[in-house]
Amino acid sequence: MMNDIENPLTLYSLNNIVREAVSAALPMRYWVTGELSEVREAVNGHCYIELVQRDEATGELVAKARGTIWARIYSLLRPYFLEQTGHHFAQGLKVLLQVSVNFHELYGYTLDVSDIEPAYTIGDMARKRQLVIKRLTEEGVIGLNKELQFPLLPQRVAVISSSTAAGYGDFCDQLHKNSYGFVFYTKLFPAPMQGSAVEQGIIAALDNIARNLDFWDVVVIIRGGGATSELSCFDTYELANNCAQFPLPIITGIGHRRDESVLDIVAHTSAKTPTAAAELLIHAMLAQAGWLADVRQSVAGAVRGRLDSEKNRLQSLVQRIPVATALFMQSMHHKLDLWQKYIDASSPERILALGYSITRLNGKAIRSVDDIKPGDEVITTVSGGEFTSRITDKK
Amino acid sequence: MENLTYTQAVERLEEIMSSIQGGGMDVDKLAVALKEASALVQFCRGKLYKVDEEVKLLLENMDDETLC
Repeated sequence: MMNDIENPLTLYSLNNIVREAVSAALPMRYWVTGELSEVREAVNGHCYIELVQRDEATGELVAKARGTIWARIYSLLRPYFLEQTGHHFAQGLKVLLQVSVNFHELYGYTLDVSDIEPAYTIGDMARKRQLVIKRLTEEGVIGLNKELQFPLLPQRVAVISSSTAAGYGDFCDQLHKNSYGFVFYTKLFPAPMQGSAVEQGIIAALDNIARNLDFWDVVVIIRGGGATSELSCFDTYELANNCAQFPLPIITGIGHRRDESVLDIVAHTSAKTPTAAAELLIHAMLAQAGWLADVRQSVAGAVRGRLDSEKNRLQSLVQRIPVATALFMQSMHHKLDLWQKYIDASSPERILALGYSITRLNGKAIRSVDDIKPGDEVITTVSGGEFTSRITDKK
Repeated sequence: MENLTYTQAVERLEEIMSSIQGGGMDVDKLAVALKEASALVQFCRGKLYKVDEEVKLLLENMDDETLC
């Protein structure tokens, strides 16, 4: 082909050459990894994507390519991807795609997507989730909400949900129509429960609740049942960090079939469904109702017990009186006997009978030889009588 | 008892119980304690089953304007 300044190529011709060169150089299908920076579903069923690669360290773009998933492929790929990953084929995901490389005269360089490997995306999401969990653990916040004391009566419930979510209706029904007649006060703090707005939406709702912290006993975060199990929006660090450090216990009921979300992990208590979250609150009330029913009985029982023990004490005192009296009397008898014996042993009659005598001078007992002198007349008392003598001599 | 919170009432009930059971309470005061416990239980049950209009109004009237 002749080409010089006099015979320029048309742009189409040039692009046509490029197209043929690309087609010849890249005849195969290639497996390629990248991040979906844009996903646009057209009305005709085709899906247009933009695939990028970022620098690991700086996050700056180092490569970019547009791609197309034709309707006949996308109609199969879309549900398959959702089924496998639990996540819509959407912006922000890391994907592994099988592509053929095209160059079109008008549209330029594009990739035609022919297949996808969801396991790669699952692996990437799991890795990111693990990183978030690791960071929360290292920062010591992961268990903070769990450490909060659950209120005895979780009656004033701040609900974060989407007002249109079926789960919110289920939750309120379950709670307010509980068969025990427990009173609950609920208020909705609306937040989107799907997609990338979840994080900021829930954080804003938490901030609102925090403005009147005293008004609430617990926070419940619920999402409609039946929604597809797109959990990764509940896996972000900011959301988990805010929830973990929130000063009220958080209960989640975001309905999922697979692993727990990071939000479930940091929450005080996680329930599988909104209905289960309501049940949990009702059960807490039931426990208190049961305790109250018992406590009046227990107090009455304790009073009775206390009175009984006082009665026993009194009775045992009464029983001890005769025994104690008898013992006292016995010991008195014993003492009296001893005294009697002592008295008997010391009586003058007994001493006189033994041969002793008492000699008196002028009625006064003579205790010493000095008390008398020769010529004195003394009277001596012996057993059975007395006799009079005159002192003739003393030594 | 009007200004009592549920938690305070529960704590007081537990205190009365342990005081009776532990024998630390004067026998002359048992009847008074029983009466107080009864009133506390009544108060607590009220919290569970009766709508507190004040709380209800407070939360109902708390719209986003009053929050922000």
